[in-house]
Amino acid sequence: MTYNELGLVKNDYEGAYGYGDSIGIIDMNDQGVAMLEDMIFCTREFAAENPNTVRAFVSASLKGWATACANPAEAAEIVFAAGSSVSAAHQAYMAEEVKKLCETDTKGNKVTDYGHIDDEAMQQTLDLAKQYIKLSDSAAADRLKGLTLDDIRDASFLTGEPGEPEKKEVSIQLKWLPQAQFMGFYVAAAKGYYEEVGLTVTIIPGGGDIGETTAVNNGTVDFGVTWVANLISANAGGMELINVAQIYQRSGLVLVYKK
Amino acid sequence: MKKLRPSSVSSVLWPLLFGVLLLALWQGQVLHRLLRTTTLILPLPTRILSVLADNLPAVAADAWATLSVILPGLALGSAIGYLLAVLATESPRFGATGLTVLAAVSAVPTVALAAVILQWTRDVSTDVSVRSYVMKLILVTVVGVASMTLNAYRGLTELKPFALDLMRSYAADKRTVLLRLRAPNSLPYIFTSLRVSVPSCVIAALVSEYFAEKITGVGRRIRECILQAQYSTAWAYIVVSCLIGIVLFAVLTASEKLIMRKRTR
Repeated sequence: MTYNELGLVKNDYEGAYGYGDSIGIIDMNDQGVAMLEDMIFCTREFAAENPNTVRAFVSASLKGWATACANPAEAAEIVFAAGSSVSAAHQAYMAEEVKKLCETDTKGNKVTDYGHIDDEAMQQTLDLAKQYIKLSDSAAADRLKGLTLDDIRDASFLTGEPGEPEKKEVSIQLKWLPQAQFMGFYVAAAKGYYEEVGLTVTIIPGGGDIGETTAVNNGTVDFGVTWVANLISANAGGMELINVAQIYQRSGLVLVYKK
Repeated sequence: MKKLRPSSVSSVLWPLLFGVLLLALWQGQVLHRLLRTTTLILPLPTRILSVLADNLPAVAADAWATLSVILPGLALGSAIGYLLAVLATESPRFGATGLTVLAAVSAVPTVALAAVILQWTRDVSTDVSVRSYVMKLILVTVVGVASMTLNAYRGLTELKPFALDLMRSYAADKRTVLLRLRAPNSLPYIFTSLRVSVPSCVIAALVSEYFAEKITGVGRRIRECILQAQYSTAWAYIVVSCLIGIVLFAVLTASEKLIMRKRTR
């Protein structure tokens, strides 16, 4: 990923390899095979029963993302203080790279509305998933073939005024350990944006074998951060999860080679 | 028709009936209500079987990848373990210390060992398959060693009263004592050891696959499927891993019966 492994290969701070400009990259966005990654999701059932909670959570989180992107250095410090798994220098690099993913779409155009769900990019992700995700379970494979955009995303929670949240204490399961990849949530929590909308939010770091789709589907947590492709295969497997806010507007996946 | 002995009724029929009942509860979704889970997370037996049937060649290849680690690892580990037990018996001074250390080493969780072994095997080969295989084999071997050494040592040293004195009165040398007295005496202990190490080697092999670079084997598939929320497929692999464990244990029990019966005069 541009924000993590690429930095470790390229940069020369502690724990990185310092290859600098002696490496080249192949960017999935440039190749036209970008699949969207980090986004906020919950179950369709949870969203139907708690629309105000979802709307409040999404709006406060996105406010956190906007603040984080406006000042990535500060966001990196907030994440580092929250129990970062990597060094402060790498965290600062990560915050800068993540900002680019939030503010640029797959074609390189600037995006100003954080969390925007771009149907064209989403459709490309779904099409690539249908082509390349191979499922051994024939029922799941059939469901995958039949998935449409409406089965995987719901943009209605990005707009509208949130009323009184139905559920006030909510949790979000991250896809990985605490790091700037998730800076918007940590900034929203640190700046009190969640309290402003009447929510108490617990951020649960992932890592290792945490299956965020299963955790959300079981109701262990209310929200989760995952990649669109993971949500697609989970829904093919029989879950009903929906993407309610697309945090990263372009793919962070690159291939690296020695020049 | 052969008369059914009461022992076979209690040891075969009842467990079998229990299994059938469990399957019926599972298929009838009573189990799901009891465990408060859904058919998504705990798919129905028919669904699991149909996934298994649809993917037989692929599943068989993974089962073989796992078995090809378990069997040589178990054999190698047991052989090394027995040798260590003989060494410990022959030099009791180092033996006691060695066995204590070994018992301590065997208490280190497989998960911790796997990560360390992964480091050792980094430079073994440029081929990922070879590297991964060696790493898995070493882990299973290590797990097999400890149980065999500890049990075989008991078998080699806990002799019948006066047996050793009798051998000495015949002026038997160390080698004769080992081959004629100690080794035969250790045979039942070998089976005791295997009854522990067969299941633990199966588990070690499944766990080692999590850490291996190459994605292959039954254990690894279970993990990958669960991460992708493909529970029916994951359960198909869970069934296969259970079968591997059960079949190996059955083979062990059968060979134990056969060999021990021959031995009792």
